[in-house]
Amino acid sequence: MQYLNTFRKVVRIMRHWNQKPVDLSGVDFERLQDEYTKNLRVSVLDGDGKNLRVSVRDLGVEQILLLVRDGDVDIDELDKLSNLMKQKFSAEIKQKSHIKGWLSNTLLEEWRGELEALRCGWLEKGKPELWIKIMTGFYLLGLLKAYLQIKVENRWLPNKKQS
Amino acid sequence: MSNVRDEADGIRLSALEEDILTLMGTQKMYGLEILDGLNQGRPISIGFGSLYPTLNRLEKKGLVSWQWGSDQDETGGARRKYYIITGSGQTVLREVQDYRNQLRMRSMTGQAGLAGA
Repeated sequence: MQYLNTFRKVVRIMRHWNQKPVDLSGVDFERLQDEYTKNLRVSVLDGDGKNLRVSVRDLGVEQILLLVRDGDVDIDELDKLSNLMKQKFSAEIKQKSHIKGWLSNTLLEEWRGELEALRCGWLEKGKPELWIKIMTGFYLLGLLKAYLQIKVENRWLPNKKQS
Repeated sequence: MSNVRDEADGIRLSALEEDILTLMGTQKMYGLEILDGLNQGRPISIGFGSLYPTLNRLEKKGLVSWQWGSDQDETGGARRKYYIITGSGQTVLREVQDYRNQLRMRSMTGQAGLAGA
């Protein structure tokens, strides 16, 4: 978590100093896995003028600030990295929003699709998992009510349904 | 057109059915999209429990039809069902809206009460 906070601070300061927009909207850093943070690397110049690849986690905030101020950090890499993280995060959310287990076999596909779209929206907003589970159950009750009502109504409604 | 006209004769719309048809217009929409569209600014919001039976009734009346969406993502999620208004649906909606416009015109011109009384 410490590394994430460091990265966040650095990007904020870089944004301010370089006046170059780094779009981090939609990235929930709290949810990022450690495997992403260990890839946070920047190019820096050492004392001999050689280009070194250094992990952000190995640098203190003051060190990074100095590097940024002297223009030794490649901001494009951080930009690329933030885009990569966003893509991974988005795929992760879609995967997480899927309904699994007995419910996926029981529910109609169209309703599963709707619930997954709802859950995806909640995950993107960073809602807690317990809250998402409760709300999914709440919407499931609505679907159950719809299912029963449709079954009853179809007993007397004239059948014009498409094949 | 006359077939569509015949089919549309005698079909009644509830308030929610009319709202759904008005919202859909000529575009394809899935359940959650319809729900979001309806609940924006609605005094009492509705849920899936009311939406799906209403869509089922519209389908039975032949006013909407549906097709599976092709927007399944690479993560293997479920497909969505897209609803679209049919020719009869558009005719019935147009009739109801014409009637509402007539009522509005009557109220504006002061002919809402018993004419000649």
